[in-house]
Amino acid sequence: MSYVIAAPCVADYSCVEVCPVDCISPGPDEPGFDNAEQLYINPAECIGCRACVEACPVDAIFAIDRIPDRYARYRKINADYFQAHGRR
Amino acid sequence: MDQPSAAIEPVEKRLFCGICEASCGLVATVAGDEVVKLRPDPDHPNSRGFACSKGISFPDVRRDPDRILHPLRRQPDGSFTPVSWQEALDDIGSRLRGVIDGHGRESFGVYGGNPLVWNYAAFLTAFGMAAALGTKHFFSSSSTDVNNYFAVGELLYGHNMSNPVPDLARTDFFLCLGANPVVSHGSMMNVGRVRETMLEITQRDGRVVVVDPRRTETAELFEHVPIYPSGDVWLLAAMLKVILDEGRYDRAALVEMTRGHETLTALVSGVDLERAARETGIAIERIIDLARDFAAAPSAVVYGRCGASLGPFATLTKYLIDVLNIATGNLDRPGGWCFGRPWLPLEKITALLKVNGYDRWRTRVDGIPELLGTSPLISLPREIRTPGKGQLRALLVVSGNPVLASPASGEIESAIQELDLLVSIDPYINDTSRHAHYVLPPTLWLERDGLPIYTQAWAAVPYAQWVPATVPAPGDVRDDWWILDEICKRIGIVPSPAPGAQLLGRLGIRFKPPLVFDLMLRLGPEGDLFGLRRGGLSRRKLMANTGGVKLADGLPTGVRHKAVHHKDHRVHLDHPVIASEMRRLIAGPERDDPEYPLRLFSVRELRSHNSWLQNVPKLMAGDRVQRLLIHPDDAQELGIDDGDEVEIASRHGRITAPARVTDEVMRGSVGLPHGWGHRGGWRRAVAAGGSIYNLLTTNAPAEVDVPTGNAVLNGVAVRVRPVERIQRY
Repeated sequence: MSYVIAAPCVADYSCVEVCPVDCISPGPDEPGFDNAEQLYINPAECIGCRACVEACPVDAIFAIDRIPDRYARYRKINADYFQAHGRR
Repeated sequence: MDQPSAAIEPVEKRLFCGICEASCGLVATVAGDEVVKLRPDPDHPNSRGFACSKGISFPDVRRDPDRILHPLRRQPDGSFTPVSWQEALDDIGSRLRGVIDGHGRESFGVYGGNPLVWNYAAFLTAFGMAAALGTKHFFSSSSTDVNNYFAVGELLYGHNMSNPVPDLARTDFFLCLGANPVVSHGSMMNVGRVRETMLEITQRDGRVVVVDPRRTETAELFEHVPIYPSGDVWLLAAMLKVILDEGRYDRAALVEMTRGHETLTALVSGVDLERAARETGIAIERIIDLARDFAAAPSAVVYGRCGASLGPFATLTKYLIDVLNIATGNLDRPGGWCFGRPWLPLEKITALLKVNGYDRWRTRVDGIPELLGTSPLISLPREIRTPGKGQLRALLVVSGNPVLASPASGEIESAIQELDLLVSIDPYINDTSRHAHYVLPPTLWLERDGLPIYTQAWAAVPYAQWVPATVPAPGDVRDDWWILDEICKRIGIVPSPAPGAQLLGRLGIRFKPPLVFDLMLRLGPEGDLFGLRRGGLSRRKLMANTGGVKLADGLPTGVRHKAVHHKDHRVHLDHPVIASEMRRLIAGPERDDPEYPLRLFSVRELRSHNSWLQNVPKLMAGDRVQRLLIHPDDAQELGIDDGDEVEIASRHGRITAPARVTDEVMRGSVGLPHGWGHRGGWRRAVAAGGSIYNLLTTNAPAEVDVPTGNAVLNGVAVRVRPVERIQRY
């Protein structure tokens, strides 16, 4: 069970900072960090610990099994980011 | 330790997390002597690929620059100097002998903190040490939040450790009281992937009802019934009354499985539903509906944890939880309240050695009933300060921090400084160990062999696991059990309750914990009986598969005859202490304290574990601070804005915290995380600030759970006001 970052994301760094498995991108040492409009969770690496949900200042992170319908497409958007950029 | 990891081919090792009861399976990537990565083990029989940030970040505790790596002796100015083990142990031994010669063995006490239960060897040795000393001064952190379980286990099922658990995998109705499994990952039950397992109940058209003063991370996924802190006992008593009065109970089950069930109607006859509604904040109709729905469900189970165990009627609350399950025919059946499948026969062996029990003696000063041979923490300061035979003069603290964790912690802090000798076994100079004459550094769970001693009897998917040390220990640290045994040697005892152990000790024979546990395992229900049972388990066999061995797909049912320890194998329901607690509940005044109108409850946080782990960078990232959660209407009335610094005052003390105004808490109640306000040598934890929750709590025997002395940390009457207003007037 992983978590997904959806539309409300403001590319705040809080989630990256608390993630214990470094599965949120782009981080400060990755390309695209400075101009990122949103961050993404790697579903293959996420352990479902929920730390990012608490840290997010704008409630942009949802459990993949409880994502609101209006954000359902973000499952794919998060996964696709890592398809395109490769694993960190 | 300092080898560059790149030079060494990393290897993967499977183990389990030794922080909390979930005991999640992990895979460690090890390079040389370092754990470079910890990840959830997808193949673990019970946790099935879940782990949380606490376990994953644990290598940072191993390499914490503030961790103690050598024995330390406190100097007159309060600073610490490293000394050799020989020097430390010899001096401790000689000072203890002085105390014992002058005042007897009962003047020496042991305190065991929560991490003891992930440390089977230390657990065994500490218990054995207290038993060999014959001291009543055996204290445990259990007396803050779980002694009610151990009392009810003994009364109902004949053993303190007898602990039926909710069969979440099959239930149709889960009533969850004062527990937040999405964050805690379960306590006194061990359900892997507990969040998903609960969601599956609703996916198969069952119900999950979460009763909590706060709309918790668990409550927001299910039906939430807000309740005043410590109102649980009234809800349960009222539900039982409805079920009995309306004839909705399972008479056949009560007749078959119990003794004393005919007393239940009289027990709850004085419970007034209207008062229950006022005490809980839940409307009468809703209480009645809950009772009817619970009784009508094909299978149903009620479970309650810390929130239901931190009030002044914790034992009665736990009794009512069990009785609701039993009276509705849900004991020992699928989807109900099930006995687990132990692979270590700890209950049987401790019963043989007469380790278990309740009220076999009373504490010296407060007269509180003994439980499992222990005294409650609330009595500790008075045991130190009250002169007479048996006065506590020397204390050994094993992996504990009572200065932060105990009720009325300010009193504990001053009292322990009056001891002739205080020794702490701890990886940190924490709030308690900073006052110790000696601090002795132990290995941590990645550095010693381990098995899930505490939860092995009740995993939802029963499994056996025993893992060797994953990496070698750094510096000059030693296993806790070795440290305890070395102290025992110096005062001439063998840490064991077994008859003959002292005699063998005089002949120089001492059994090491791994051997004792291997014997238990091999002669136990899943053991290989030294070759007589093909496919049976042994230490060697488990060590060959450190990922754990699955024993069954789920909890067993129909095992009451084996599981209940009473001679008649029935659950005993009629107890004078319970009847007397019910009278105390009903006779007590309704809560209405105009001076302290709000009710405080403690909040468990996702990235904290009790009173430690606040020194780990990853777990403190994001500028975590302790905040008081308060409802917007209460905040408005008190002139409090979000972020304001507020004073929280009880009749026992006052602290401050910034407020977080949120409708997730019920009006009239305020929530505050505990385990903050550190002092000592763990610099990040100290820098995190916060206040000590337990400065607001009491240790008065009449104000806690009377049958056990269990602490009252929830439902504390408080008043809250902005700090600035206090300064102005």
